Amino acid sequence: MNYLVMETHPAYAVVLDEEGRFLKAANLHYQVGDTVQNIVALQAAKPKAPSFWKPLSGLAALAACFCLIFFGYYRPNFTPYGTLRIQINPDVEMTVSRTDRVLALEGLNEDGEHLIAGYSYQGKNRETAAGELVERAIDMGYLSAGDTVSITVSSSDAAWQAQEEAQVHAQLEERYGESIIIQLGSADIPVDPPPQNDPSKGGNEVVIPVVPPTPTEDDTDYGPNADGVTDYADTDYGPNADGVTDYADTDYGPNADGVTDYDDTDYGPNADGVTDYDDTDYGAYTDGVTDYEDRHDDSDDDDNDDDDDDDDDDDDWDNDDWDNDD
Amino acid sequence: MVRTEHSIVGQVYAAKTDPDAADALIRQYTGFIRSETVKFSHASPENGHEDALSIAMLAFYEAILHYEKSRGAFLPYAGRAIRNRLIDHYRAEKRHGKVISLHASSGGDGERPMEETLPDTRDEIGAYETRTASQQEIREFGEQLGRFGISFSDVADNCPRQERTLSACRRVLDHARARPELLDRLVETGRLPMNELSEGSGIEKKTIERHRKYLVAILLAFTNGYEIIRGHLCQLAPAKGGSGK
Repeated sequence: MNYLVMETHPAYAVVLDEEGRFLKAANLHYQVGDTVQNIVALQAAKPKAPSFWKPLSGLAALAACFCLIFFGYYRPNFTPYGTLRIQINPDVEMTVSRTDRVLALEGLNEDGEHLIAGYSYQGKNRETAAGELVERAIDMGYLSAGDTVSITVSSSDAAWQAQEEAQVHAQLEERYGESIIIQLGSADIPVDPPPQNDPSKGGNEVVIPVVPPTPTEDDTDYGPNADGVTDYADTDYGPNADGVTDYADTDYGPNADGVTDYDDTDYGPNADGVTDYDDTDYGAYTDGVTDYEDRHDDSDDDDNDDDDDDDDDDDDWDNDDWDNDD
Repeated sequence: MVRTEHSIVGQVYAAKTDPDAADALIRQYTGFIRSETVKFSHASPENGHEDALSIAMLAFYEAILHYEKSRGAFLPYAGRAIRNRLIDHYRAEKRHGKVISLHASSGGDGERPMEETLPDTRDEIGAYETRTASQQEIREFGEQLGRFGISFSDVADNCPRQERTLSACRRVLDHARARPELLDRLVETGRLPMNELSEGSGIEKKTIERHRKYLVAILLAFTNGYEIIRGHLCQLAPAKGGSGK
């Protein structure tokens, strides 16, 4: 393709190709009006890449904020987490959020409806509402001294439920404990004199007889069928040792029989005085006479000590013990 | 140090849009470009490495266009860009490794370069005349564009890059050429007859508006005169009323 050079700059030239494109290319010493064939075209700047991330990051931040608000504020405060049912005779149930905010109040019977009529629970927490409801019940004559208030907390979160029960109980006990009875757990039968006896207290004791199991395999040493007789009786150790060791023929310790097999020694007190040295087969003295007897020379040990044994007669090694052994 | 960096960043950003500022900046940093080139080629640019210097300058210009302040200092970036471009250039050159340069000595003939041993087939005088004529014409063309407040650099920047857009522009051109009064109106009023062009060619106004500078240039080229430019654009010429190439 031919390019017509239209304009030159120090760093680039504007060229016109045959299809009507104006291009910037390296100015390889072109002059305006030149027709050139090979150009080094300018690389176009890429369209900005961050256009992908920027709105996305904003969106992500927005989503994060939303999540934070939803999970951090809205959900604990404005979604029902459990219910608290107060049964005096009026039966009232309040729906409570996780943070003890009263979300709804409902009368479950006629007296309950009456009790909460005109009572505004908005923005109050569970503690205030429960206290005020009990107060109202007292004022309206539903609750007098000695009566029982039963409180039931129900939630899918057992830990929260237990904690809530304890708190409500403690709180009401503190405020009205002297005059009324606060009872945890449901009193499903809203009868005026509630049969408050615990059914579990007067229950029968059930005794399950435990039969000792009969051993099915006689000769086991382990488990419940162990007969107590082990086959390890023939041991020399521990409490089952029969006192008979197979080491009886020992020379040491308390079981030593006093008979050692070392009797046939030539040394010490047990020496029987009979050495086996006489029976040598070496050298010329196979006749039972060792030549140790004649080794009397101390320094010039030579082979001919038999020949001249009279030159060292005065030696103090020359005692008769060596000779008399034979 | 910080001060100079700041000023060069400002200069670079000005040069991104203003071709004159770009030229000035490039002239100012010619020494830097030269040194980067020499670092790469280990030879003086005057000594058979003129192209390398030109490529390096183009790379510097590209660096100006592509530079972003948030990505760091400009000069190291430009240096890297120059080196990368030179590497690309030499790799491309290597592909023609078996081609012997005309400037190389012909060996047997002593000192004369091979170039001079070739028979001179070119009509030097004719070429010179042609070039002078085309220079004249291009200068006139440039002046007329200048009256529209457009330079060749602007046109090049504004030129459609996608084949689809280019053919859309060609359809606008074909429509205008079929109705010379539109071209006359362009010359007289100095404005593109946007509505007529859009309706006549079926190209959206938005597209025409986006490539206004380019369309002005290419339409002007097909007004009276500019024979040489039109001759150069011969591939466009016969497509009268058609869809161009």
